[in-house]
Amino acid sequence: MPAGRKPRPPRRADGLAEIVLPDHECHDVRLGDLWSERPAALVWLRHYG
Amino acid sequence: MQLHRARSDFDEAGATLVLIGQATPRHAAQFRRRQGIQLPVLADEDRVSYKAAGAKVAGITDLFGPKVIAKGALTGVREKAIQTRTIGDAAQLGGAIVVEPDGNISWSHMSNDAGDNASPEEIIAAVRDLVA
Repeated sequence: MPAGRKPRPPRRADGLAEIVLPDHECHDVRLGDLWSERPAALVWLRHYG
Repeated sequence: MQLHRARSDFDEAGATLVLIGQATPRHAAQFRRRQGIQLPVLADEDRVSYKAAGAKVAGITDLFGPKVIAKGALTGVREKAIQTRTIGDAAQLGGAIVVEPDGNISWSHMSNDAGDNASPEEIIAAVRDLVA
């Protein structure tokens, strides 16, 4: 996304569901699994600092 | 960290709470240790999920505008937190969403500037609205 453009969150999480990220213990987590059985709140941090 | 303190509220509301940061698993582990948090932290060094979530890449006024700096200072005092070395792209903003089991995003708050963050109370309220 070009700098300064307003955030545009999607209405559905289909584009997020297949993304696989490692957790803090290097275990792969498929994002869609987080909300497959119950609601999930995902929080993107600006940075770890 | 406010979200860490509110984690039991998410459990009671029947929702999973996960943090995502823009660095490596090692950085994520260090962040958890330093902040003393027990929440799961995912590592998205390439910011793939940030892009998919529509997160904003800040312009200069989104990072250093007077209101942004004032809000950051207030948060620092309130949380007794000091900004340490930034890991990742400093212009990458974050945000939060609540996702239903069918994949519908029932609530979202993606940051419009560096001081624009949803409070844990706002996120929990969105979860409670969903499960009510």
